[in-house]
Amino acid sequence: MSYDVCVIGSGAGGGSVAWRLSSQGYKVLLLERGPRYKRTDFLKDEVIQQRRPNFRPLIKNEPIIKQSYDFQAKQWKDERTTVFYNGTLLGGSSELMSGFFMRLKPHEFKARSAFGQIPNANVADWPISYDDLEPYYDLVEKLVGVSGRIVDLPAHIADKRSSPDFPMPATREHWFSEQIDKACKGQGLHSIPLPRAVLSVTDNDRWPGRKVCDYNGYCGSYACHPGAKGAAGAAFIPRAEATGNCEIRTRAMVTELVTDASGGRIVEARYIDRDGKIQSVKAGTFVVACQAIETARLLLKSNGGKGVANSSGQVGRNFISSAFGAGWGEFDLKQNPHLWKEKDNPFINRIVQDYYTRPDVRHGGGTLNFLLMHPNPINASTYQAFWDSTEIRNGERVPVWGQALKDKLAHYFTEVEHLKFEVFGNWLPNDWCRIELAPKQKDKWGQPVAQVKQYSHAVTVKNAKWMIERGMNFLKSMGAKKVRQAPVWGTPSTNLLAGTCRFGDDPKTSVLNRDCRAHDVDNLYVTDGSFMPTGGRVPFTFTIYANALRVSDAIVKNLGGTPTKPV
Amino acid sequence: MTDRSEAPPRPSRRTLVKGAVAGAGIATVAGLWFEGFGDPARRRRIEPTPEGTPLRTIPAEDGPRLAAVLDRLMPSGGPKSPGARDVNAIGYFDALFVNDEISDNVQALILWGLDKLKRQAQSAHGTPDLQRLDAAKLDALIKGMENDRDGIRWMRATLEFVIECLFGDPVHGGNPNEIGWKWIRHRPGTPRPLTPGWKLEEQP
Repeated sequence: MSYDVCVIGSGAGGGSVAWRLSSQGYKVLLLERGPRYKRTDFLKDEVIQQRRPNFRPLIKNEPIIKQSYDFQAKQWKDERTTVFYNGTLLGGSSELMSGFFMRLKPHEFKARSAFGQIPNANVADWPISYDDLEPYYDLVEKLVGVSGRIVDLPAHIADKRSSPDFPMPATREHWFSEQIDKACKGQGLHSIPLPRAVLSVTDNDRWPGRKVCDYNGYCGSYACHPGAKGAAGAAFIPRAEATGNCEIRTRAMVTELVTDASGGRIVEARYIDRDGKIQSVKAGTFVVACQAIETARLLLKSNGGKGVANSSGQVGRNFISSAFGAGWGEFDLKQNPHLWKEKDNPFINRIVQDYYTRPDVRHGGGTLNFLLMHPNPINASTYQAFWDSTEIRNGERVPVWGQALKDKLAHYFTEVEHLKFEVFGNWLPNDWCRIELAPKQKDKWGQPVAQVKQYSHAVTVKNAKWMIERGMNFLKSMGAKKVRQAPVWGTPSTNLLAGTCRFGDDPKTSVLNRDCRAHDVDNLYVTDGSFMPTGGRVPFTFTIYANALRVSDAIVKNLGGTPTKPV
Repeated sequence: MTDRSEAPPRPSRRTLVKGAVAGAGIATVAGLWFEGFGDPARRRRIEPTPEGTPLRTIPAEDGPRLAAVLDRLMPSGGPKSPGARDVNAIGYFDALFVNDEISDNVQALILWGLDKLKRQAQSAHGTPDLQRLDAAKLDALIKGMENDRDGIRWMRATLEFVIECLFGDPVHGGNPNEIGWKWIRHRPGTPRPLTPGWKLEEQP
């Protein structure tokens, strides 16, 4: 059987496209390498959801080679890992996101024009503008379900919106939210309610099969039992199946795209099924959305290892993440006993974007996002034991153990509440942060695995530290005690991955055109975060969703159709 | 082919924190952790060995030795401040050792550390029976494990399982009567698993 469209990868970039095209009447095959689970099985169980590899492959079967440059030995050093697989299941990593749905600012689309180039970075303008994407941000808010609240903000911070408000009210909020509002007011900052891809209401007409959030606080890294979180597996894939036009095959590991003799069209995708058998799929159009690393890997190893869509040599280049950082402070529970009652209100949902750009550092600045610590007790305890340790010996942090650990845990869990901030900043694309095929390492199917060269531009790291300082000062201004920060790794955040197939108008310097269709291949699109030349200062999923729906409309037009208005 | 001589611009010394070096270590341990977990098809339920029941995988003479070490890493203090012995961590470990989800490498690392401690106890105190040492002597031996990277990795791997036993949902065999959660006043999320040994069932 031949399909109109074969979509490879079922996360934010793939699941949304599968729905849009199947809802337009096209026969779609959606291939996902991971398993499919019942949503009602996503129980709040840290052992199953966090401590067992249900959502990522085994390292012995499918390693990724992470490379860091050793300046003393003057060579790249290898490490086998699976940390970049952050959602190998139907719905992809969107199932494990926190759902922080912030829009990019208009200037992010023209970062090079607005802020210029700097040495050792490859900043490029996007070939589209905010106005091109805005209708799709709006569409995602309605389709996926984004809760939030509009407040008065200065023009340089406020989002330019085509809808006056969010499709549903904001979620319940924690006591800290109001305290942040007050602190911001006192400092001339602007406290912004954070839009969340979390249902604050149940509405079966608008968000079928999904239920309102149960306010447990188990969002990040957890698949959502009620489907309140706007993961692709909740928001799009059931809708796609309901059209009757979308077939889904899980445990389907695509190993290769094969072109015709001219190299200008994909004629076949080959995959290995759950029984280890090689299968072939023919389709008119192919959409790749395997997340930045695996998308680049697939394109590089396709066509018998010659690669596809890579006449520019840019596939795998300019891998980006976010200049990430975090810090937290303590509030005494004896002095603030009311905080015990706030355990039913896990959402703070406040961001500060007054530091979004910096006049002194080009491409600097970012978003401060305030939140509670994750309620996971095992993970929190291991962090307290291993990472909150201050003693370093032989280059290793010495764990805290014995009675000292018990005292630390008693303090952490029963004597204080923590207010935390996270930083989202620009990750400057550069030549040394990229994806290649590992020269020797193979996966269990004999396929070359991805090799991730990780390198952060000096401005990226310095800016992250600057943002962390802002965050720590803010917590102190609120009266937080023992304010401290997480280590700045200078390595990509494993849940914020983009770039590697940047889009642009010049086929010599980009892989995809402005419709995210490969310059070299007529019927190949990439709809995950790989298209992004720069990542801006917010998380990526919202933008990936919006762009994937924008590209879907381009595909419909390319197939001779006229996209209908979805809502 | 990778050009291994291609060097990026060198960051200033102050750019990155020392902790970044340690990142490789924990990642390695995490890598070991995941190495041996089986495919869902191979998984089977984890049942800890009940207290007072003969251990199934840990040799009889090593059981009390390992139990003593675990209880120094997370000392027992009764219901209001439970530790390894209070949650039958040795039974949990015994089950982990027969569970094909758990890496051979992690098992080897834990046993390597136990063997090293036994040898040191033999050398310093004339007995490999760690449970016979008083707390101060046993703590001193464990403290000695901090002196090299492998020792620290052993400590992390071992402590992680103790913490998992203490704060995991009781359906997995630790945290009896939610004793660990009660200590830290943890409120579990809902819905919770109800069936011992449950697992995520893959759908066709």
